[in-house]
Amino acid sequence: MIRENLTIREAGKQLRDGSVTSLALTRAILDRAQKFNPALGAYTAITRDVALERAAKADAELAAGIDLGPLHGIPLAIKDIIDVAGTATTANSEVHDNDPKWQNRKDAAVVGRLRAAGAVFTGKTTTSEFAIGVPDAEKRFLVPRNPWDTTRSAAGSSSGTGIAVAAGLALGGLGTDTGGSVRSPSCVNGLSGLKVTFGRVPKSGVVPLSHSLDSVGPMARSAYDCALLLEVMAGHDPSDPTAARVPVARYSQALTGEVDGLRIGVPEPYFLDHEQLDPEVRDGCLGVVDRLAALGAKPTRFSLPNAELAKDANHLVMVAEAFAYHRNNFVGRWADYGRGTRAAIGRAAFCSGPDYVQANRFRRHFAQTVADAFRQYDVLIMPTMATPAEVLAEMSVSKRLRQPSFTGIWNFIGVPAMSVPAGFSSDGLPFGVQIVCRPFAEALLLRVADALQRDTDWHLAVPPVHRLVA
Amino acid sequence: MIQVAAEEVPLNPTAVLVDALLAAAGLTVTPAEREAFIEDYPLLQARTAKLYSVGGELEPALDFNPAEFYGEELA
Repeated sequence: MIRENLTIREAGKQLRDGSVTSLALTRAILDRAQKFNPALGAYTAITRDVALERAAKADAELAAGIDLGPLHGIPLAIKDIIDVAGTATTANSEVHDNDPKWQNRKDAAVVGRLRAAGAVFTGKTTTSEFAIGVPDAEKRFLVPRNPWDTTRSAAGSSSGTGIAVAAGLALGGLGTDTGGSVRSPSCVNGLSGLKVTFGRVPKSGVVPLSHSLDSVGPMARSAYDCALLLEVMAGHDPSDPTAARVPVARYSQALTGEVDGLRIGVPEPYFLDHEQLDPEVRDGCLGVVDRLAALGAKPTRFSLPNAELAKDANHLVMVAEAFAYHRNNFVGRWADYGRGTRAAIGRAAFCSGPDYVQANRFRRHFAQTVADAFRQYDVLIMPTMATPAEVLAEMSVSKRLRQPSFTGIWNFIGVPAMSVPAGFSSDGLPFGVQIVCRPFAEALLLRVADALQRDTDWHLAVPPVHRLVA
Repeated sequence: MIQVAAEEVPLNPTAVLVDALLAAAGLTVTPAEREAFIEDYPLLQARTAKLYSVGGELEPALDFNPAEFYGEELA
């Protein structure tokens, strides 16, 4: 019996002590995926045969003393805007249907790294169409549903990876994040998800949303598992001109549990006093800060100027860059896109060239503001999202425009940010806190998240998916 | 000569602007989408206008380094 909340770290130990094989682990994960996918909409494609073949190979390699590291033989799920060799990249869009260019792709750079590390790919996971928009039941794809309550959203855009990891349909996986798309589904599904520093992980082979904001990040149950994934994913690659030439840390070795003396900044205006912030989420966030303080950290509340403006500027840059990418298809194939995608990216028609330039001028100004904050604080902590998962039937792009967002602010200036579970609402829905730090300090971010998870067990909670199949 | 007065339909300036911008962008949207864009447009414009409230002291937006872009042998 493979537990739904088995971590990558635990599975790695079991693969090496002989208590489980990659084949048995992968088969159990795939069986669960095939059983629950119609109700949860986690996967756009489950690649059972190649996964089992790769798992058997991993077992043979490990038996022969060939150990490729902590991801060897581990079943992982890949968001369907990231290329995996031999599969189509649908981007959950009918725009890619029947287009030979998007069938039978080669590995994205980051997927190639995971493959070389022995990972087993279980399939491609549901994304909001082109990593934006909202689920559209009129299109041919399954609607992604929150495993804690299937009437609610799994958030986006990396919805499928979030569902898969939460429900035990993969041990970890990849998402992408342009305005919160790794952190939001991690938050509402009860996972750990890391939006890396811009350029930390190569993006070649990933369908772009916004070229100056996009990042590829790990999603898993624990911060420790995210560290194991990032060790393999990170590093320069010549195929991506934006990939940074910054040395890659041994992230898992940085997880000492130590937070004594850590200076935590808790930004208050906009983040903690927003009228749409759920009181339970607010209390949960402050509870996490208190826990870290009890472990020796030094929290201080402060004001981060222009945070809301940065959220709006991130939105402007995102839709403008996305429009440029989609413009020709928008003109010729508008109806092939989902309604949410059309509404979200179509707004770029109202942005002028000078508006885009001004947003980027402000970007440098705001980056300086945040750099000043990081001279006083090692990390910043705030809610990841203002509420637990919203009701699917009530979702709309216009509604989202009027909701607060605490995530895109950090994409705007390229710094790393991580969502980790912070408790449950009175309705039994998970919510999360976001930890932010200076560029390329993912080791610090993961250390703080791991310290919290040594002190709590929210990240190990399992959603009641057994109710879905009588 | 008989003159027929045209029915006067009050112009919604936001709608006129949204229609013009959508047309300029080459987008042909559904009536429901048009209505949603008209509803969202004032909020989007107000947010964009705020970006210009942080203005004069800003540094140039972009760096372009030819040596980095073209590589040392071409630059």
